[in-house]
Amino acid sequence: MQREEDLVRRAQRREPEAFGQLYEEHFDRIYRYVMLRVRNQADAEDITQQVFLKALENLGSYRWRGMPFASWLFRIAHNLVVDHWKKKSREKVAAVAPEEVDQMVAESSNDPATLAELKLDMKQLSAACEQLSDGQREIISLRFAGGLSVAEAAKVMGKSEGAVKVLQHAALVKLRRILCPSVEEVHG
Amino acid sequence: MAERFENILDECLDRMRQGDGVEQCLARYPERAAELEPLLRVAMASQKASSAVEPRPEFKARTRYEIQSRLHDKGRETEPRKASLVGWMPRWAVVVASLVLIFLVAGTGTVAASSTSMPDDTLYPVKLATERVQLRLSRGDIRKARVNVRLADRRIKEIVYLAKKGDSRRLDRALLRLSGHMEAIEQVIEANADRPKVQEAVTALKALLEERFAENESAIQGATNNTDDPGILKRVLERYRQGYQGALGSGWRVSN
Repeated sequence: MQREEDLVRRAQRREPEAFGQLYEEHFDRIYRYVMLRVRNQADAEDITQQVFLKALENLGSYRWRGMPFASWLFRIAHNLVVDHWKKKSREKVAAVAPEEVDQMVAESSNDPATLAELKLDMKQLSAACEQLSDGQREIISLRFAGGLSVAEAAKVMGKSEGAVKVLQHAALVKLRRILCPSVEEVHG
Repeated sequence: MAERFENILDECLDRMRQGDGVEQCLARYPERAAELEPLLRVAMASQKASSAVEPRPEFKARTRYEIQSRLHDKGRETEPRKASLVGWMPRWAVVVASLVLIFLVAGTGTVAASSTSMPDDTLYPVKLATERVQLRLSRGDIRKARVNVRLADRRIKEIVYLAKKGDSRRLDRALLRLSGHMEAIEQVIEANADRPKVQEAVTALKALLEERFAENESAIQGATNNTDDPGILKRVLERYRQGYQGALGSGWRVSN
């Protein structure tokens, strides 16, 4: 943590090497998160590029206290994704048709015996995520595509860690129902 | 007191991120194993699906290059500025002086020559400066939007030229400028949507846009065969389409 704090301070002093290291550490994770949220390579590339250009522009205003750097960066990505969908909804562009979702999800697995070997690709995962609530989709994207901890995700989402854990549980239960509808429900 | 299930689930997810398998997690909480297992399997499959996605190396390299260029530029900006010849002049006076200078230079034919220059030409900054003046001198936002349509045409020609040369750094800048023109057009159309007095002019603007789109679209599509990285031009085309869709409203669709 201390190392990253030093790195950020050096990047704030415009040391190209320090910003380069932050870029290498976070680029792929940001791209995966954005890709899962927007489902389109060209848009994901545009938004990912904007995340880092905005980060560079606003790095001077970043303060370490209370907000890990990864959370700050993902917050930028989250805001850009929200703007992207606002713009798309103005254009009334259909996200993914419901029947397309069903087909993509059905291709993954609905056999209880195969749950142990459940295999998904990004397309199937994002189709399944389409059926989650905004908050559930966000936590799945931050945790599994962005690789954030619950504490970091909580900062991005502006929620308590407890609330994020509850949301994560609900999201996984719903994803399981979508991906493997015939697996029996177990209540603890 | 029994530990909350959400906490157990989260602990297992963190352990899995650090390399533990599902079975190891289940062994730690045998009494909750039946409830945990399907969720951990789904989590693992989701994580694997995401981590299989990699950004294209050329895209990653291009973004890195763009950031390095900006870092370099910013570094220069933060250096103490040398005393400027016009530093003492008020802003309006600088604008007037620039206009006079540009029109004087126009007399020599430099501006005319610059109008066809490309981003890697020495006259290109003159072209951009002249365009800014043209926009400032256009009275009324619909006239400004029509100028932006013409400037978007120029950006497309530049993008096609740069794609042929494989100059992705300048191409990205041209693409940013193109987006700026498209957004400016969109704003004007949106702002005038409910003004009956200007509907004729707005309709004419939209017709011009559609006409220019058809021509520019085929220019970009034609150029994809003459470049080593057709992906860049596909991205340009997509952004261009989005810009036009945004400007012409949701009722309008680009035919493929």
